[in-house]
Amino acid sequence: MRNASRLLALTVLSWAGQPGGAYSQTTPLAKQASPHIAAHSATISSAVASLEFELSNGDIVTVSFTRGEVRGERTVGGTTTSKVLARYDPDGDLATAWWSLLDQSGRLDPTEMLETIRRWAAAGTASSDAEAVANIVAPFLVLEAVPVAERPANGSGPRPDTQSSASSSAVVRESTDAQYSPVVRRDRSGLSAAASQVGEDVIGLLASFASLCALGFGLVFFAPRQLEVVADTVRQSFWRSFLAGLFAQPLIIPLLGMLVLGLALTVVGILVIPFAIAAFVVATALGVLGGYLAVAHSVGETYLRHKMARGNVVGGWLAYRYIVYGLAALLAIWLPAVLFSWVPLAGKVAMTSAVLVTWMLATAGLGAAVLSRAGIRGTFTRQLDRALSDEYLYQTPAATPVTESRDGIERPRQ
Amino acid sequence: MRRAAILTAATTTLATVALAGQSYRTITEARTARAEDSLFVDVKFMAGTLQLAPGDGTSLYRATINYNEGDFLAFTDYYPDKNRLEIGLRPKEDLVSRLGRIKTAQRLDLSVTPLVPLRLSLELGAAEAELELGGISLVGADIVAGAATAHLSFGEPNRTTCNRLTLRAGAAEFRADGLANARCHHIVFAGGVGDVTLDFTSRWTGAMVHSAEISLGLGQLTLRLPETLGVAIDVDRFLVSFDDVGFTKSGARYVSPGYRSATSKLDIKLKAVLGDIDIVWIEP
Repeated sequence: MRNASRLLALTVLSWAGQPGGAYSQTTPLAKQASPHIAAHSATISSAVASLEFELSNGDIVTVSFTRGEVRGERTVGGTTTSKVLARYDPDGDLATAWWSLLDQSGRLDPTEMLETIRRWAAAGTASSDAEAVANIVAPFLVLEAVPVAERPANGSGPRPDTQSSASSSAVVRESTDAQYSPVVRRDRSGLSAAASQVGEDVIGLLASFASLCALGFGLVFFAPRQLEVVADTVRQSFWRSFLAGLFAQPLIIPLLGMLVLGLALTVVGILVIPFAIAAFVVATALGVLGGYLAVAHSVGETYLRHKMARGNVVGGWLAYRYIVYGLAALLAIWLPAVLFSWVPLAGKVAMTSAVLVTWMLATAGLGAAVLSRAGIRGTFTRQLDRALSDEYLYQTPAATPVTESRDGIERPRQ
Repeated sequence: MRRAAILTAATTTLATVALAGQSYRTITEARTARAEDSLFVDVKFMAGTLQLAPGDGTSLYRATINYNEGDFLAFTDYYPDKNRLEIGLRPKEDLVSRLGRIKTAQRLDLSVTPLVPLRLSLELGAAEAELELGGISLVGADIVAGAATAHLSFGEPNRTTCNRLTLRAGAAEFRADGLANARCHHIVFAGGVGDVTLDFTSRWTGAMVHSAEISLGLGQLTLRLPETLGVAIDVDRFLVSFDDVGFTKSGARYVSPGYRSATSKLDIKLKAVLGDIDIVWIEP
């Protein structure tokens, strides 16, 4: 026992006497100027267990157990010196004791950690690993804890400055510990609030209708053929379009990634990446929005053709009418959601239904746009067979209008 | 039957190998508090469970990080000249390819001193967070919860006043309790999709007007308001049901009955698209 203590003392003295050990001075005057521990850090895994103390002057002292070797390191002014302090058996008592010691580090502040190491060292001198323990703790035993005067007292620091204002505040009559409980209040605004909410939502819906109409008119004006082909594709191959849209949606982001990657690989293409991204975003938005408008076109066309087939007169500007009627039908799906949003269960059901149906239609529109290559290919549109259909007669004016001449003989107009 | 047994054995073996491949490392760090006049803590935590709480004041901060060292990197960097701590966990490779493996027992426990004025920046990835900021000296905070489940609470009053508390949530379940204890002049919440509860109860102090900007994309927002507080809400919404019980409407503004006479007031600007806004009045 006495021999082990002597060993520990000698080891500590040998560490303290090393060059760079600013904390080797022992006179009271030197002690005042010596650095003390500022922080500690421990790393523990199945293969490594290391403990590091950072001093107030930036120096670092580390002891790590790894691969059967205990290594001590000192970093002084950016220069690191290292030496092997001991060897250990990974399954031995020393390793177990060191791992257990470091397990406590998360609960301790640096000063407490240093004190714990000192206690561990004192206990270790009685064990069979006394020499190893003495070598291991030696780098730490020369360190100094934070002077008591510098330690912040628990509970010091800024106090909550809430008391002064508490008395003057009407609100703070409540205690901090007061138990709050939810209360159900009587509805003061009643139906008027619900009506106001519905009114706002209806205005929002009308604004959406107007915006989509404007976009649809633009498409009809600038790309009528493409819009008709996409609309025809939706009508003739709705489920095929829906499935195509469903599969296309998750591919949008990877496609953009591939586009960017492909351009980046060509090196020269790097310059056009921002424009390519912008073009891709615009194309995707057009695909989704144009597809949705094509669905509206298709719905409107179906409705008006049935109306015409019943002999009702439908005015001109048919393509525009298709859009207006179709959008009115599609947005009508949102009417229950808007009108009954204030009703607890029905509102949610209506909202969910509207979202689902709109997503489904937009997906089908996107799929139709994909299948028809943005309205260029009419592979999935209806194939008109004049022998079986009379559709070609719809709204077709007489090829040669007949007029009656003054002499009463009917002649084809020239 | 035999085929099923072979399949089960193969699956078990693969799972064992996969788990055995995950090696965990624990890092603990503590720093003695000295005469710091401020502390800036920047936390970036991408996956796992985060717990943040006030410390006992003896340490400036104390942290324990337990992480999968095969896939993640832990970092704790303290800059004494700036009184700045950067701490957290980030994936070694891109997060997307690791999505299937991030549901691990990773954990960061961090406590900070309540005695030093603290500015907090916190960024969460796919994490669960329990943040107790009550009783510390918070002067400002910016908390971003990506796809996280986060619970922020102020169980005790802030030791000082805070200028701005910014909370941002992506696709998250977010709950903030005791926001009055935060003693912040301005609170900002921006949410994407999710279930959000903002609780403005606890201790309102001082004759002053606090303000809050709340925006939510799609989801459910619950505002818990004390009855004694004067509340005015400007609502900008589309297809959002707003439970305006306890308010009188004046234009687009909803005002609580005691707003004019209340000592402490809270002005809220609320924007929401698609969802529900519920108001729960809390009596003392």
